[in-house]
Amino acid sequence: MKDIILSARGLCKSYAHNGGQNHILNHIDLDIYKGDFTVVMGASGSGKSTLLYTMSGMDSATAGKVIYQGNTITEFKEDKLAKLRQGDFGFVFQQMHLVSNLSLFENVAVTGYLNKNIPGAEVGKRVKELLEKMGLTPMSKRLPSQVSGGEQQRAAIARAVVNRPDLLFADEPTGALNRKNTIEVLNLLTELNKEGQSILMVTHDMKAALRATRLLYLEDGKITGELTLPPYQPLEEKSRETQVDAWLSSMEW
Amino acid sequence: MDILTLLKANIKYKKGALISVAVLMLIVTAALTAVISANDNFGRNLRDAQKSVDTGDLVLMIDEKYATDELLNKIKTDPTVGRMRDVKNLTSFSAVTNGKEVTNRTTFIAFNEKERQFFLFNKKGTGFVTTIEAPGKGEIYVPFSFQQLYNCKIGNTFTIKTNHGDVPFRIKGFIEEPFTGGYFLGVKQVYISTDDYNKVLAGKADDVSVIEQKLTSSHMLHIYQKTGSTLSPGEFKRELSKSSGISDYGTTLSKEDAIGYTLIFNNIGGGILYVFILLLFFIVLIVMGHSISTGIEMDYVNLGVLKSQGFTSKKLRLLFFLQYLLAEGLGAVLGIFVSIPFVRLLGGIFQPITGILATTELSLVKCLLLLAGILLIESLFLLVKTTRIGKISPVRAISGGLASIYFDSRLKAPIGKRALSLSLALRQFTSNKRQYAGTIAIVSILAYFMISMTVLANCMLPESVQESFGGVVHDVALALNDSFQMDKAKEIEKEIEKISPVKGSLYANYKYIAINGEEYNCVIYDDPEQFKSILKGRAPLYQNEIIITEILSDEIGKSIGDTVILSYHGKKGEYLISGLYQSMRDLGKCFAMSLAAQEQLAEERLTDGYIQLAEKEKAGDVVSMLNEKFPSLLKASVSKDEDGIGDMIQLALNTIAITIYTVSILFILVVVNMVCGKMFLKEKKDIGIYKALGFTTRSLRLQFALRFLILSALGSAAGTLMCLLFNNRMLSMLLRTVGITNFTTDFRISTILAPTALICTCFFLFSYLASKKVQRVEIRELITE
Repeated sequence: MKDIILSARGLCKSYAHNGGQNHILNHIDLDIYKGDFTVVMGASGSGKSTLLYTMSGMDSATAGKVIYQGNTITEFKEDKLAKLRQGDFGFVFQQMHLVSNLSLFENVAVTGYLNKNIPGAEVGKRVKELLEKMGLTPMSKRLPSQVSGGEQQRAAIARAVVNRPDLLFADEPTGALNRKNTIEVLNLLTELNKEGQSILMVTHDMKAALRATRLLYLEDGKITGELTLPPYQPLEEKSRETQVDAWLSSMEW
Repeated sequence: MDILTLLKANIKYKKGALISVAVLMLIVTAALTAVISANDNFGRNLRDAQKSVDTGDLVLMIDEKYATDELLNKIKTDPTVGRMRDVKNLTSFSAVTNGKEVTNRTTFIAFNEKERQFFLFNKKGTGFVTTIEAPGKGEIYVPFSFQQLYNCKIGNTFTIKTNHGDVPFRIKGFIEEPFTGGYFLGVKQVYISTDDYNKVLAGKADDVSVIEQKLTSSHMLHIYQKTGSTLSPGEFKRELSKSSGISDYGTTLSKEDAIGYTLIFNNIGGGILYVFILLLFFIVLIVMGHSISTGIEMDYVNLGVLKSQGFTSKKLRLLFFLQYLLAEGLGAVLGIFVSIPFVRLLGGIFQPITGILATTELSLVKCLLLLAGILLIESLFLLVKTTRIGKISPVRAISGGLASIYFDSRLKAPIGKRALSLSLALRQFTSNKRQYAGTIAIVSILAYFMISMTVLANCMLPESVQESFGGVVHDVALALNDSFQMDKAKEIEKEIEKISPVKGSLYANYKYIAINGEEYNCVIYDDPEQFKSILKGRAPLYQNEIIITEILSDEIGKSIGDTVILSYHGKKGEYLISGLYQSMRDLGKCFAMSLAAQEQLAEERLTDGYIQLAEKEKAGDVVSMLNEKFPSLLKASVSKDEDGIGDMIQLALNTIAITIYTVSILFILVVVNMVCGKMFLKEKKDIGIYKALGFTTRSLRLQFALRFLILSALGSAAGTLMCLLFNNRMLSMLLRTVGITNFTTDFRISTILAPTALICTCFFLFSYLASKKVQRVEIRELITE
């Protein structure tokens, strides 16, 4: 039996639209398990990113609740949510969103500095290790505008995990990358997951979906399908692709 | 039509920035209109009043004994003179009002209801009464400046001390006397009934044989230049002095000089405010430049799209031009209306100093012409600033626009866990220095002016500064009688030493002596080494030496090493100019010599003594002792600030300083709001990222405010440096009209720290408040669906 790391109960998100309500998330009940590489798929506009942002506390819910470590984070005020982001949750965006006037090293380090439980020296040590691991040491002093998109995204992943969060959220992390960079980033995420990092990622990229240990399908604001997979092995990619493809076809993808 | 549609949309979209430009323009216009109108009103009212009371082009105040028929005829028949009007009066040298000694010479004139002699203020001092009631028995009309000089109120007593007993009067009202009624003029005309003049006062006038005269019969000769004469007031005075020798017998004052003295403070205050407004105008240009640059940067994509749709660069520039010009025009028009209460406010400040009724007319034509000039300059500036629009490439704009690119900076400070907000704020600044250069320039201008005004408002306080302006620092003032001789000084000081050690003493006399035929105030010291405000050369140590002010040097065209002829009551002597000094006496038109040097011209006594005590608090005891022990030699009093700047001037300087502080703070508020608004839009994404990383709204706002604190600290430092470099020069230029030609700023930590701390606090607070929008940034905005 896996440990639940994050739960959603009756989670709803609606927007006012043309005088009516546009329901993006519709009473979702969902558990995310520790150690899983959970990937949410779905058609464009199905509410994947909204689910990710609402579950991570970056966006508010219209109804329902998100529970983390027994606390309903949907009721958290800004200070508590900020604290959550400083240590418990990490986030990777599709557009990287690195702070443009900070070097790659500083972009990663700033998140570490925010965490009051980690001493400054320890942050520096961790950042160096992470950048080494991500192959970014030679360009650590460069500004985001001076490195490639893939390098930016790797730095963004390093930033997201520098505080060793319980759960890493990733919103289409390969969406803005070319094929080569996509593979690099996916390998990195897979490696992190194998080291024990729980990941919740949304994507519509089949290649990215193959890295999942648990696949969820979102349609019309509801989870309509689920597929459990063994941990990713590069040699089994072909058979894994067939399996996922078949499952997605059954979901009318 | 297309441009109108875009214009409407742009105004709506950029209303924050345009409102800020309009507000800045409103402040500049309001300040400019108020200062110009107030100064014009006083100038016009003063000239009109002089015309109404028929003030002569030159007025000779002369003792009865010197006003011989021969002299009067000489004046009347001079080819430069058109006509002459003789106003008989009694001049009092000793009077007390409202319990205070009157330091001005007072000329008593009999009220004449058949001619306009003055204007009578109503009880509130807000206008004139139409019919002037003749003063009754024991009643007196005094100039409006008496309210400020001696805190007089209607009903107070005004007592003249004569050698035949005191004569009390009751103040019936305050008058506008447009010749010598101003605060700075040493003679004051007062009006009493003809009966009092003839029956009560005239009989008490001293005979010419009395040495210590307290009340003398005198004449005020109003001399009018011949119609069509092209002589300047100065030339007229010189020519007349040459032919009739009037300067040897009495005191002359031209109508133009009287106007200069009366409006002296308006001119200084106005000068300071004009310079300040000019700098505010530069600030408006800087702010507008910043707004246009960031506006183009942020609208880069839209402008590219519009170009791709067929809009020409010319049309797009016109769009920018029109929206800013509209904002400026609106601000300027509103500023004119807003200036109305400020004209009244300035009038309220200057009326007690000038003694002239403050009116509230706006100098519309002059202001509109000036505003047209300002708008023209700003239009040119707008045209230059919008040239960047021509360089926008539609293709580049549409394919992603002008992303904000940050560059490495040599000033890059490390980001650390300690003081994270401060180090991030510093990074924001160092990586985008050019964007903040304008703001730093604005702060430096405001800091410069605020420091400068603080220096000026405090400059009369330190004793050393007082001395450098030609003042005499003292704790006890002595009015010396005829029987006083210098050998008595030692005896007097010995008695003082029994109460408190004497830190310094000085004995002096002041009189009007003609230099090359023209009369100027002369300061005579027993010890010439005590002239402490010498700028060039040395003190007048020898019997044939004088020192003159730089203003006088310019006026008479003589300098160190030159010789001049001094004349006084018929006696003449040749003197060498040994040095240049500065003094505020007679607004800088004065000279000085030693007691020994004066003896060539007159064997006159010393009239004033100044004692500086080591124990200042014992001044009262010293005064009582002196008055008790030496009643025949002197009359002692505790020092009252008559040589330096009085309370009123201090108050007026403080008011100008407060005005500059207030306007500066308003500017800071508008500038911060505007720059913050632009920065917020530009950095919205970064704010979202920081929030996503776990920064709280509070810490992000603190970062914002810290950045402005850094800017304001740098700007303040630049302003302080500017002040160190230029303040003396600027204040010397502005204060030349009061005799200060070499202003030496007494920089103190407090005069620099107080304004800079205020600026930094305002920037920090206002930017913290303006950054409230950070709260509204949703991390959701980072989502790419």
